[in-house]
Amino acid sequence: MKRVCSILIALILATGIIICPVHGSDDYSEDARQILATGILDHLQGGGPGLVMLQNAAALYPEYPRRITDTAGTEFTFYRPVERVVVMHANAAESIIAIGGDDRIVGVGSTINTNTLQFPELSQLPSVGKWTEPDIEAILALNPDLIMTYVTWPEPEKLERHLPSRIPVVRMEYYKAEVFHEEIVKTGRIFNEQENTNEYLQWYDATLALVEDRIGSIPYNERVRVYAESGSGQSFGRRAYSEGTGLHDLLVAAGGVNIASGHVTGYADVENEWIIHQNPDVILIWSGKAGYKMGERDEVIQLYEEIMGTPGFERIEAVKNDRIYIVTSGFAFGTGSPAALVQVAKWLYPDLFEYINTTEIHAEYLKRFTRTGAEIHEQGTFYYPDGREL
Amino acid sequence: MSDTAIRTGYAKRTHIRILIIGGLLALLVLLTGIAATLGSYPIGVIEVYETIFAGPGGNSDISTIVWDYRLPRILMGILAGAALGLAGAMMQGILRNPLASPFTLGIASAASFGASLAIVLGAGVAAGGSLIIGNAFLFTLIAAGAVYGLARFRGITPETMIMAGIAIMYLFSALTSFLQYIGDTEDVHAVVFWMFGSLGRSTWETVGVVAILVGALFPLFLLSARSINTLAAGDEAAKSLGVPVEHIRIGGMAGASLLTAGVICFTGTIGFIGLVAPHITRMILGGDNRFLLPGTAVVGALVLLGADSIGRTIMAPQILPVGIMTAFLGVPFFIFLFLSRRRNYW
Repeated sequence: MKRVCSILIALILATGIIICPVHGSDDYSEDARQILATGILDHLQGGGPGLVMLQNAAALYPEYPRRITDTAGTEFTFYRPVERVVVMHANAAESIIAIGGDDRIVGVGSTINTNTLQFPELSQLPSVGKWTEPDIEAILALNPDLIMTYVTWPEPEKLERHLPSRIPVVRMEYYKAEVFHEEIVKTGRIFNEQENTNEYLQWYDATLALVEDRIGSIPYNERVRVYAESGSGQSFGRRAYSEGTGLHDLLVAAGGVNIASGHVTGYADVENEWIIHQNPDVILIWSGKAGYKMGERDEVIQLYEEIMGTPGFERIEAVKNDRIYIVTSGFAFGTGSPAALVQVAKWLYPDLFEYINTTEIHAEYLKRFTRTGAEIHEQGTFYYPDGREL
Repeated sequence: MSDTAIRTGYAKRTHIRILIIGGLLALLVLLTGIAATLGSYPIGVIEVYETIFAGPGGNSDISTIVWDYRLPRILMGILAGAALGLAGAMMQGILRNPLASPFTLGIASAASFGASLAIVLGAGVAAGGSLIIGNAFLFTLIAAGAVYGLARFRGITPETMIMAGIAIMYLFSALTSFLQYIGDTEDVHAVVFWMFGSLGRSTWETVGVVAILVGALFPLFLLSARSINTLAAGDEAAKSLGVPVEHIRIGGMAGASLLTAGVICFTGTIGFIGLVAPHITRMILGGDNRFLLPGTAVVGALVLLGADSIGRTIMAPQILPVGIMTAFLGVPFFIFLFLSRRRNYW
């Protein structure tokens, strides 16, 4: 009897889906119709996602079901909005906050727990282990309907292998420029936050266009030559960053030419004498310190001072003209990266950005798209020099 | 064989050993001369030597590169290689064990832990090297003290010292792994970089410190060479011949630990030289510590300087870590010597 009822309900739903015209709010409606119809027909043949899922999706049709392919290339079908999400890494967390989906996060990776100033609310949620070493028991105890993690980490043997198939693991990076925009769009669809997503992406695209409009026409041979590294040379050697790194992408997008291009792939240790020989116009340093962490400003400034005090560097154009700049990872990568892009572009081409207030752009980002408080807004060191007193 | 023939044969062998050490020294001088001309800034050979003979303080790129970067790096390579080789030879001699070295006895692991502690919990990447250097040095001495303390508890024998050393090595390796686990990505990178070893941070000041250590300890090591030779016959035999076995063993371990600490706190972990340089030298010169100790110093310097010179030129401008390069170069050479020897050299 129960089976007959199920079939009848499914048939009614399928008929409705197939013959009813779609009045969807976006281009995804046709996709939803096909997924639902296929799901119902599969269900009639004894397969498919199950009656409960189909009922959920039918009630929300044409918004649901929706299909997402993550950056790892895995396809997922969502039959209803996600409600309990576990987020393994901070890059994903800040992106979800930017599109207003953070109220559905129920568990976080330990790097989010320890980052109390960037994530004042999320940091208080239960920990599910480190982003490389997930705590499967803690994850299962939260009964999530979605887990979000990096494309590569943790390896599927450490995560998916130990989870029931009903819990999808979406793998996205949120720090690589080439896939960032697409990942934000997908995140908006996963969390059903189209409006907030559009608002963030409008800011993102407009800020990027601000830079492209000004530096796009500069001929290659007139572009500023930049040496990019992770400091500190005195303590750990000179580590140059080139193709395949976020720092390289940032400086190239800002109109710079990386002197390590063609010499180094990824990052590698180089000799001081090579940098002296290359004589860059600008030295751009990336630091994992400061940003959303207070009390680390001195460590950022020391990177600048180390470069200034390196023997022979006093004859490099970048040092002679005091063009040594530092960006922190909390600033340079992820959702706030457009603000960093404008800042770096202004460092490289100050005349072209004379009337652009980069401080305001970053302040706007913090205010509109993060949950950070006044302490970060007023005292955070995201880049150096930033016009503030030492 | 008559007494005269034995004496003549011995004098001849001694003469040959001295000649070999002289040859190795000449090779080291040649390698030093070549290394000074290598680098990613294009400087001609003649220009390099003109700059060296002109002395330091010139206000040009070339003067800075030669005097502030290349020469300190080369001298540190020579001194660090010599010091680590000497430390390994001393440990192997006094413990009568071919596997003894600063690396296998926990000294290098302790240094790694000290540096990691400073990087992850203390100084951080940007805070300069002083805390890292100081911490590495301190923990090296702590490890040496712990090895001595544990061994003394059960009696100072080669076996107890090696067992204690292995225990200390595992303890500090585990502690370093724990720090890497809790450290953030940047700190872990820094720890890994430190553990690879590098001569790139060498300055005249650090070269000076290592030179003083080597200069002070090398003569003391040489003075104890005869006693170490006697130790090879066993503790009881050495004692019956009047050798203060425990004093030699404790003094030798302290000296070798100090030498290791003084080097790796500046260079990071370069563990391989201390194990293999003495073996290579022993295969060439034999086991007499009067020749083995100076020979090991020269071989250690040759291996380290050679490895660093290749490491910074083979993929220039990228530098391959010297700790990796020493293994790439030294291990095949060591295996070649090991296989080509017909008799047991130890």
